[in-house]
Amino acid sequence: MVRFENVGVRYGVGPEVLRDINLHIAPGSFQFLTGASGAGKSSLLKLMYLALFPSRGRMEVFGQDLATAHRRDLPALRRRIGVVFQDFRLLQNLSVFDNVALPLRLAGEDEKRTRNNVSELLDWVGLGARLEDSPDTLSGGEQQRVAIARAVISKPNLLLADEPTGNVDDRIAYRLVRLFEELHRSGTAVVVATHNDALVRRFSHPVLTLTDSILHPSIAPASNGASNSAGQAKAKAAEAPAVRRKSG
Amino acid sequence: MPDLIPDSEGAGRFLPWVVAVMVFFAALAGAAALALHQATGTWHNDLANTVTVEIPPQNPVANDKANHPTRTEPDRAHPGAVLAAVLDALQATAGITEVRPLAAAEIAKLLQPWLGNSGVGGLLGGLLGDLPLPQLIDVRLSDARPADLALLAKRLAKIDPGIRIDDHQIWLGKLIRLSQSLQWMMAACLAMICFATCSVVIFGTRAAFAAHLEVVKLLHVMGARDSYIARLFQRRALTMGLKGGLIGLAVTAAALFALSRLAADLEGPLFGDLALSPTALLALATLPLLAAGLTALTARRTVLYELSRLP
Repeated sequence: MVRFENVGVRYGVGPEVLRDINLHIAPGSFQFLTGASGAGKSSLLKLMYLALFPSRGRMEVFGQDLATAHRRDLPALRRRIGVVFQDFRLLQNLSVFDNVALPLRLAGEDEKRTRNNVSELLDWVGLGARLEDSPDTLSGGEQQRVAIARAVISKPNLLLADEPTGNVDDRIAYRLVRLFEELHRSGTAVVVATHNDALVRRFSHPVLTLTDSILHPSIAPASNGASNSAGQAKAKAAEAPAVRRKSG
Repeated sequence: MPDLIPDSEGAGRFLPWVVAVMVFFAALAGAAALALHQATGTWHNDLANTVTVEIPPQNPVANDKANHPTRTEPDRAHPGAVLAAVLDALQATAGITEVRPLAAAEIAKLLQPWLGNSGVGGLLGGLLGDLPLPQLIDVRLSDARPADLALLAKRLAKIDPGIRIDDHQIWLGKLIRLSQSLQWMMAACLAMICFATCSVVIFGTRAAFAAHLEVVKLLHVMGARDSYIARLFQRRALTMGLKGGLIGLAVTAAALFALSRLAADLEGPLFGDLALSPTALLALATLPLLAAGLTALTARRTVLYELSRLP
């Protein structure tokens, strides 16, 4: 689904913020991405949602090699990726409904179907009564649910969450990850970037750790689908099944 | 769904007023160019198939008769006889459709711009007969087969070598050259106005793009095509351009109306030709649409360029 081979990233002429990244995210996988602040988590996520291109190395998304992809092919790839930003990035001049409907409208979805799907999803996240409200009238938790609803409304193949638990207490953080697990069970590959180690330990998902711009191997069962070929021998056995499941 | 790029933010707020000013200047330049073009055509059509035969007031031939014994044409002591002979010669020439001698009052009217009403009144009141004014004859040539003016000049010279045929070509040529130069200047003005408008729109669109960069980046990441994002700015620019264009046109209409009233007071034949035709007015009325189109297109190109710098 997403494959990195010796990927490096630098901004301008500065030092590399990501070095020698080798990674494969398989369809239907779930993994945490951890690392200290400044380790490069956001840059790695930006690479995954195509807001940043590698300075070197090879990167493939849904079977499309980015080095040969034409600019006009990228929007279709991006529509298959849902992103939950740490700061939510809700459009304040749009209602809750219109914020969540935006990905469907960008994809040219039928308006009637959009209306039904968005209403249903907002009901499911407990915001069915706030459809026409402005995001700035919602609490932080409610805004986060709107942001998640917007990320998943188009049933993406890959869901990326950048520090979704950064502004909530442990109880809410736990519920959020449970919500991502539900999406994962419906077939969506999920990558959750977090620096909450306690939360990571509560779930048995693979963990990708960024330290000093280098991605370290997964420490969780390989059956979950992520692999990091930069790993050493101890991770090799765990990675093998995921590598075999190469898919666009 | 509400507009993702609100109208009333940033530098874009001033765009309608800038477009209004540009449309005002463009409309004035366009009106001048159209009026000159139209007037040039009218002058050309009016004068192309006409000549004026001018019989001099003096009688050099009669005094000179002894030196030119072969000339046995009308006695110059009787100007009416010369006029009659010239009229006969003109009417006998193929390719002439109409011959009309100008009356004294018409000749006096031609002098009005130089002598004024009182001067002409004086002329008509008694001085006219004393002044050596030429006799003028308007001659209209056939459109299909105009007369051979060289042959006609030879025939008339036999009557009186002082008779001149004025085909207006020198005057008309100078006038047309002047008019065409002015039209080119107006076209250059329009081009500069377009350039200035595009520059302002590029500046305004870049400012709006920067002000809404977070929204643009979000849409970009969500999979919005560049054309979709460009359309948001383009629609906004179109609305503002149209608004500004209509304001500019309204001011232009008022200015042209005032100018036409002033020109009407002059009662001159040249200024009468400068009045704009309905077609020309219609062309000017399309200026707001053109301005809006130019504004929208420039905004689109600017946004597409800015987007090309995103990954």
